[in-house]
Amino acid sequence: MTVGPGGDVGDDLPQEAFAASLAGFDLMTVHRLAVLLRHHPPAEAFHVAAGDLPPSDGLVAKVLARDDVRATWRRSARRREPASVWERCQELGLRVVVLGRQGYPDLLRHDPQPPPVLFARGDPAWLDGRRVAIVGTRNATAAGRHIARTLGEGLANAGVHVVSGLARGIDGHAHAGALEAVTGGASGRPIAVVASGHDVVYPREHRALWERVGAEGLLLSEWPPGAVPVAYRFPQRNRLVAALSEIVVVVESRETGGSLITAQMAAERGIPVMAVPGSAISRAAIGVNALLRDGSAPAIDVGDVLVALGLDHTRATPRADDPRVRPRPADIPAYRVCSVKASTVGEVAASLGVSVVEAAMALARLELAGWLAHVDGWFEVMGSPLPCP
Amino acid sequence: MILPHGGVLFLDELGEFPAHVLDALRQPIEEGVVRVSRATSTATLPARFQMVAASNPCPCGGGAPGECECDVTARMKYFRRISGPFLDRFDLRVSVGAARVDDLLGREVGESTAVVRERVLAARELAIERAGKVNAALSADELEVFAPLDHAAESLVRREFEANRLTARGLHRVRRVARTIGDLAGAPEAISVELLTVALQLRVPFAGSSRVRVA
Repeated sequence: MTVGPGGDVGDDLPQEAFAASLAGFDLMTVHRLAVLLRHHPPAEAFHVAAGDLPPSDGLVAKVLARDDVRATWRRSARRREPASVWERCQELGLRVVVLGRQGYPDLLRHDPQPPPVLFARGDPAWLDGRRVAIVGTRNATAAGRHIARTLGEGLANAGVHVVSGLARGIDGHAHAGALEAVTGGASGRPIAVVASGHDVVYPREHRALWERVGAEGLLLSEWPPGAVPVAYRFPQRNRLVAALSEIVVVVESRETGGSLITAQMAAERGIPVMAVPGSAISRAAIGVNALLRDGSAPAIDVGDVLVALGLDHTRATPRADDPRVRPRPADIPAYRVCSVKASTVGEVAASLGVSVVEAAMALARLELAGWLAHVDGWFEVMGSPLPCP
Repeated sequence: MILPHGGVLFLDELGEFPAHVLDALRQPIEEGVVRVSRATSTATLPARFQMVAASNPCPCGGGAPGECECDVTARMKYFRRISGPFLDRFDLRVSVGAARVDDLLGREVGESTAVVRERVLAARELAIERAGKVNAALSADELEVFAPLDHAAESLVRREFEANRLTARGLHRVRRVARTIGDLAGAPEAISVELLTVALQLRVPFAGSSRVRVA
C-alpha cells in the first residue's frame, strides 16, 4: 500500500477494514485503539500506527513514543493487511462497527469505556430490547447450573434478552436455557460477548452453543478474527457484558472471580446487580452472599428479576406445581443430608447410620426423580428445595 | 507385572503415571498373564492380581463440587490423562471426601478389619460353593446362570446402556459387583434393581465437568 504525501490513502476499502486491522495489532490495547481512533479516521489511524503518517495529536504521539510499540506496530501493519482482515470478516459474516461511525450501538456510545471497534455476528437490533446479564463461576455446582438455565429460559420467555460471556459453568447454562426458550418460540434472545476472535471458539466444547448464539442471537467480540483468548481480554469482555445490560444477575461466585468483576463494572455504571442467594457454607456462594450483604437485591426466581425490570412478572412462565414426584418419606433424610452439603454415598450412609445399600438406593431414587444430581460420586440437591411436609 | 501375581498391585497418584505405562497394564488385567517378547522367544508369565489405584480428583486434591481450588480446565485435563478404557477396567470407582478431623482423631470408630474379613470370607465361600469360583472369575456366560438380572434390573441396564453410561465390559463388571454385594448382604438370588443400583453407584464415571447440552 502506498501513501501519498498528503496522507491520501487511495483505496476502495471501507474505513471499517482499517479499524478491524488495527484492533489486531500486537501490543494494541482498548485504550490505545481508542486514542488512535478519537484523533484520526480509521484509515489515517492505520497509517499513523504503521509509522507512515505523523500523529496529529499529543496523546497519539505519546503512545507512539514507545520504541517497542512503534517497531511492533510497523510489523503488525505489514502482517495485518486491512484488505485481508476485511476479507476474513466478510467470510465469517461479521459486521464491524467503529465508535463514532454509523451502526455503532447507542447503548455503548456513552459508556465510560466504549469499545473502539466491535465485531458482531447476528442481529444488532437485539440490543434495542430489554437486556439482563446472567453471569457466574465456571466451577458451578449442579444446583447453580440448573438455576442459570432456569433464569435464562424464564427471561427469554418473558421477552428479555440474556447477556453473558459464554464461559463454562453458569454462563453457558444461562444461554442454553435462553436458547431452549427460543426453540419454543420465545422472543428473548441470547447476546454473548466473547474474549477471542469469532473464529477462535473458547472454550472449545461450547462450539455448538457459540454457533447457535451467533445464528439466533448476537455474538460480539472486541477482537478481530484470529485473536486468542489471553487473560487480559476476559475482564475487558466482562465490562462489555455489564455495559450491555440493564441488570446483572450473579448466580454463583466464589470469593474472587470474573463474575464479581462484571458486578463491579456494573456498579461503576450505575447498573443494578442482583445475586442468587446461596448456602452460607458453600464455597460457590461466598461471592454472591457477599454481594447480598453489600446491598445487592436477591434474585430467587425469574419473577424477582422481571419485577426489578418493571415488567409484569406474571408474564413469566407460570410457576407450575413441581412436576417431580415427592420422595417417599424414608428417602427424605438422605435428601436433607445432601442439601446441607454435597455428599458421597458413604457419607450419607455414615451420617444416617444406615447401610451403604440403603443409602445408595435412596440416592438413586432421589436422582431418578430429579431431586438430586449425581456428579463424579457426589450428590447435590437440584431445583427448588423440597418443602417440609 | 509378575511381582504382584496372586496379590495386590497398588498404583498411587494414578494421574501421574505416563499413559504408555497404564496402557501396558491393560492386557495383563484382561488375561491374567504378561507376555514378554524378545528377539528369539516369547515368555508368558502369570500376572493375576487385584489392581487398586488412588488419585486426587484434580491438581489441588479438592473434593466436593464447587469446593476445589482448581480451574475447571485443569480439572478436566487432569482426568483426561487416565484413558476411558483404562478406567473402564476398574470394578469399583468411588469418590472419597476430604478427611475430617474427627475421623483422624478416631472419634468415630468403624468396624475392625477382622470383622470385615469374616464377612468377606463368608461371601467368597458362598460364591465358590455356587459356581466353583469367585465372582470376579465368572465369564459372560456364567453371569447369565449365576447372576441373572430380574426384570427391573434389566430395564435399568438398558437405560444406562442407551444413555452411554455403560459399556459392554462395564456391564459384565457391574454384574459381578452386584453379585458380590448380594452375597455380602445374604441375597443370593437374581440381581435385583437395588443391587444393580448400588453396583452402578460404586462405579463413578469421573468424566470431568458437566457439559452444556444444546438442543
